[in-house]
Amino acid sequence: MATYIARRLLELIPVLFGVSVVVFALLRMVPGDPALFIAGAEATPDVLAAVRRQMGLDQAIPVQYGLWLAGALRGDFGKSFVNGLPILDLVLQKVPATVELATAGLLFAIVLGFPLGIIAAKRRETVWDYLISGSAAMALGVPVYLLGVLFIAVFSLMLGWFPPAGRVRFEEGVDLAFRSLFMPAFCLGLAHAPILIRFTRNSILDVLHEDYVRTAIAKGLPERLVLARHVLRNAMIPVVTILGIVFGRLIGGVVITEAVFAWPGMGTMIIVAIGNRDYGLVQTSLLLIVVVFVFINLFIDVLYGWLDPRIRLGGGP
Amino acid sequence: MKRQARFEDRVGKGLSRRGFVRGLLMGGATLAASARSGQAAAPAQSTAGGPQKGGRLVFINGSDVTNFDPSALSVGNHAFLHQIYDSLVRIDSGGSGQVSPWLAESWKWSADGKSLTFNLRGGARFHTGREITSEDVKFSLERYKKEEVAANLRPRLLPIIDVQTPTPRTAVLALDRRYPGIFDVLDQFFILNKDVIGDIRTKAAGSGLYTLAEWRPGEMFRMKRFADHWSKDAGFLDEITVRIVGDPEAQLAMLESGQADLVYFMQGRYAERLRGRADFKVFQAGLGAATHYVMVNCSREPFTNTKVRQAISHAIDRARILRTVYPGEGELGCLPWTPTHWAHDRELAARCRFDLDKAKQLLVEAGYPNGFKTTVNTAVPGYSPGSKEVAQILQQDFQKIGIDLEIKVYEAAEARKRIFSADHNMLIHNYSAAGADPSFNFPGRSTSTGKDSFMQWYNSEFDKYVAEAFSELDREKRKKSYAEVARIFLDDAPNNVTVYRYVLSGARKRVNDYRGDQSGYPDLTYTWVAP
Repeated sequence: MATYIARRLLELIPVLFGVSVVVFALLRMVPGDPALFIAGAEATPDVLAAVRRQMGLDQAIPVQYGLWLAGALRGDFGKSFVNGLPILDLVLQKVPATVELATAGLLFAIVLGFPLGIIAAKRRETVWDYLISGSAAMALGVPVYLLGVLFIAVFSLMLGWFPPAGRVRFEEGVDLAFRSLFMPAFCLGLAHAPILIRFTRNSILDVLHEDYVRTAIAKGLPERLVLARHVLRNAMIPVVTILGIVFGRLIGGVVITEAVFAWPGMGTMIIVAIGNRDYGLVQTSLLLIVVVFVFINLFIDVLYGWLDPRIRLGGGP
Repeated sequence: MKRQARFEDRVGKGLSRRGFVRGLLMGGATLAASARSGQAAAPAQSTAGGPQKGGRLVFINGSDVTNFDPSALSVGNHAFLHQIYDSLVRIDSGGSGQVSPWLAESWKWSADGKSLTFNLRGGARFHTGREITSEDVKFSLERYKKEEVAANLRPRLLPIIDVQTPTPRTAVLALDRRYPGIFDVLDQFFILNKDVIGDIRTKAAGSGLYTLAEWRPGEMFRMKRFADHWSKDAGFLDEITVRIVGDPEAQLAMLESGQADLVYFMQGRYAERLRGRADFKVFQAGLGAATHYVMVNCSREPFTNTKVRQAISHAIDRARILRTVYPGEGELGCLPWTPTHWAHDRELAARCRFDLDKAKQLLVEAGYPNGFKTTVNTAVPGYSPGSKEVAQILQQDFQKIGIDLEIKVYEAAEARKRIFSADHNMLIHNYSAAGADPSFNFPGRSTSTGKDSFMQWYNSEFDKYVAEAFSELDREKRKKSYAEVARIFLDDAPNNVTVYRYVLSGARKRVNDYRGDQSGYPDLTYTWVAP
């Protein structure tokens, strides 16, 4: 297992290098000049040239990349073109808000997705199944943006249960923090729960047809025990795999949710940074997301092995 | 006293456009009286019984602070400019051009009009505690003029060639020409503290009514009242929290739920949702803060032909643009400055008429009886609000005279790049501060001639009148010169002003005496909140 993890970590190096090259190249290919943002609407060509020089944009693109990479390897990701703050500090300041929202959103997705998927499978082809599966299909089609606006209108403006937008940190008050987190996280969870419902349901139905389940039932084991010991554990293997994919989708959802609920996280920051062509900030943020994504998938692979001892990571016949 | 009230379109009173303009003029007269007396304008009287000290205001801005350097006039920076920094003078934002003392108690022109002496107020201090001297004025000007600082005001400050400092409280501005419009520039020229200039991007270096207490990039910044500020009859709030919320629905929801007190720069359709509701009000500030236009590129065919440009001018239905794209957000446009401006000329402004027959006739005379095909550049709403919708109106009308107009919509950074390189046949965009002295805008690339002009327009007669009006001290003579400037602008038709917009700010009822400067930038000098 340790060898496997070490190998996966080593694999991260070419992945990150590749991502950095692609992101760097893509950002430079996108039309737009960051110096124009800094120089303002009335800047003359002379002023623009001076600003470009100051930002290092007058150098050849490979030189710009080399300088950025050399800095990044030393842990210096440069400074934001826009506000001049160290990029790493800016990114790390936003990480807690995004992690908080994404984790809570994932928790909601799991809490809603797994039990409803199990109920739909257990009561397959009943009203419950049709209701849950039908609602999941409908929810999958509702954009997070619309869901967010509806939530704000109903739970905040009409009922006054939650603040409509913004984030309160936990150190500023646990109750207020939970109230500010609940709606965006629930909205995010609700948007992603349908995927888990459908996968859990289908996976359980597949396992229910396996011989060992039939044997367990024939042995006279109570239904609850069959479900818990034999069905769920095996059905969870593909579901756990899908969690990695759900997490990736959730990161995309976080960007929109952050915008709707004015949640000051990485998503909002990346959107603004792309608009401003704040190259370094976008590059560093995306690299961090890739690292997190790779680690989450690594964790899921490890979990996969724990759930199914037959799987031997890094080995096999 | 009425000065702030005129910015306020109180809910339910149904202030008409004409009534509003009248209010602006009356406000200007009141301000003129206060300036003559050499005193800073007094705080406004409020419907709730007069200004009260204390309280906290939560202010929503759609964009994050770029940095705390006031030379960068990006939208994100607007919220702190007049709060954290002091300027030498303040100017009436209603178009009267009336100047009020601020850091400078008084000023005097030299006989030849090429030197302006400011007497600085005693006891004015930076937030660090150090007294402000004329050396700080000199330092600030020199910094603003550096190319690498990229100050937005730089082109407008270049006529100031030097600042002499005979005494710590006397700053003498030496000019390369007479410059009566200088006060409009000085209103947004903020005095910087050289001792802490190295940290200006993150920590500010001002002397204003409020100090920077906290900044969380992309999230919020907080300002606290500066107890040692020289003005004791301004700066009523204990604290101002500026929260960064980009989504207009979220902004409105925060206002409606009481999480915020004021939303800066609200689109008309959102402001409309607040009008008529007892708990809210809508402030209108800075007429012409966004001055929308339809521009042609005079270096590209067929716009090299003056008659084609005039045909375009007659084919623009300004009233429909105002009515459908910017309802309740502004006034009909025509001249490069607003209808409330001292340079306004009613007869000239009447020439901007929508007349498709005339447009068709001009096209025939220009040799385009069957029209032609061209493109118009627009941008996403966040960068150029309403530009695409205006283009759609033009597309419909142009079709009737044979012009096949293709609409291009660009994302902000790309749009900005194309504008700066004048890479367009036609362009729909806007410039700011049409309420300011014309000399403020004529170095602007949207309204000026030459190789840097976005219009790629050359006209020596226009340049002659611009230069003449720039240096003329007599207001009446200036007015005549600017009438010529406007006449040539309309005759040659390189750029067609369509609408002057206000900055609309939605607020809770408890917010009083909020105002904007001539660019619509927030000025919370006399703002107070009812408990």
